Amino acid sequence: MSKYFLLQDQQKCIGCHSCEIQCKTNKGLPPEARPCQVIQVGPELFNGRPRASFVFMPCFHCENPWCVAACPTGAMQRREKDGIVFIDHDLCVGCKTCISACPWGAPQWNPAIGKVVKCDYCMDRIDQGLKPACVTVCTTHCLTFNVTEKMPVIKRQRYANAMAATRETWSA
Amino acid sequence: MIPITINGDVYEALPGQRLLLFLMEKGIRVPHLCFHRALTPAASCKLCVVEIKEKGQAHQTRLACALKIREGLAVTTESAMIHQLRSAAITDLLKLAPHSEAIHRIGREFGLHTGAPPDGCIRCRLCIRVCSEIIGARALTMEKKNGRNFVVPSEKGSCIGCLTCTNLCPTQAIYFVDEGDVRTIMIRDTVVGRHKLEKCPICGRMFATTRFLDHVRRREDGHPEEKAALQYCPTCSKGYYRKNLAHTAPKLATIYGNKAVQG
Repeated sequence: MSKYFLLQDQQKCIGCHSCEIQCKTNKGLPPEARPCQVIQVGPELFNGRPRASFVFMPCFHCENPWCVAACPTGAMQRREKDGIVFIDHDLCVGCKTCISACPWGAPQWNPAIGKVVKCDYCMDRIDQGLKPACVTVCTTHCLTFNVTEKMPVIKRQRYANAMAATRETWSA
Repeated sequence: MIPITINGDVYEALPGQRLLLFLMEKGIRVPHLCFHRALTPAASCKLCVVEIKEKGQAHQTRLACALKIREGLAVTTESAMIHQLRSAAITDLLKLAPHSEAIHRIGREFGLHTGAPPDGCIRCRLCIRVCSEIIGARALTMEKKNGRNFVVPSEKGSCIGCLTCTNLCPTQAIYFVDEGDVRTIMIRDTVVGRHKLEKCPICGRMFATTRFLDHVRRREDGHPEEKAALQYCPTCSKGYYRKNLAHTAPKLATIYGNKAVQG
């Protein structure tokens, strides 16, 4: 994994796809290519009520990336200093081996330039001290980007809230 | 009627008649493309150029379609000078209409320098190079036919249908057609490869050739981790790691319509 983490708080996500749009705008991509994508799961009946979740799927920036192993030209690379997996467009020949190799479909085909494009956590922006494009526009602030050790403790907080004694039990 | 000389032979001709029309009547072949009997001459294709000689004057070149027959005219329809001018004219015409069979036919008939008819390939060898250097399939090679190089499939079955060649080709001379579960890669009218396409078990779209997926698996050899043996299309792979696949798949299908996916 890279030293960064892009956390999605699924409970806050409303599936507005703003992140996708901002990502594509930032990278200048045609409609087909989605370096990050919000996948809708559901709706299903949950306790008699319809529920849907929206799962944010960027690149996971694997420790041992399948795409990097599969790439025949060395275009797909893992940046040593922070572990970001990115693609060098000057080397890409568009053979799409990485697209088929990735177990999560992260590398995307950009038909406008005949090359692969993928989520690189907007590393040009990170190097300027900015956040990835998707994070900056998230309407419900469900996306958080930072170095892994500075991730918010949302899950623990929620679990603690659920487990904590309620007012009723206090009064009892 | 007045006598005129054409290629050394004397003919009786009507003064004022267009020379090209007279030559056609006499069966003397002169190339032309823009002449029409019913219309005034435009002298635009410049193929009907002939040499004329009049008393007391030097040799001159004139367009036969526009020239009117007059007394004492001596016409030559073939010479080194004429050949050169017609070759220049036909080269200009081919720049405007490179695929025109009519122009190439005239070039052949009159032995003009037209070059071979263009086939869209600029002989950059990008397809050959990427196939042998990067993909390793060596499915394409250059072959000389009639003194000219052509990209041809090298040996039967070495193509894997990855489409990197069609992707890199700067002029789209090498291209592919997907029909049902068969992908065909073509250059000119030569088949480079025909391949079976794999169907995504979730969304049902054809997404890559079997041979290409084998190639990907070979590339991944030695990877320390394991992944699902079943191959889904890149889009459905996103949903696969979630359990509720049955719900994501129809949604994904509506996002992308029934268009073929990448990979």
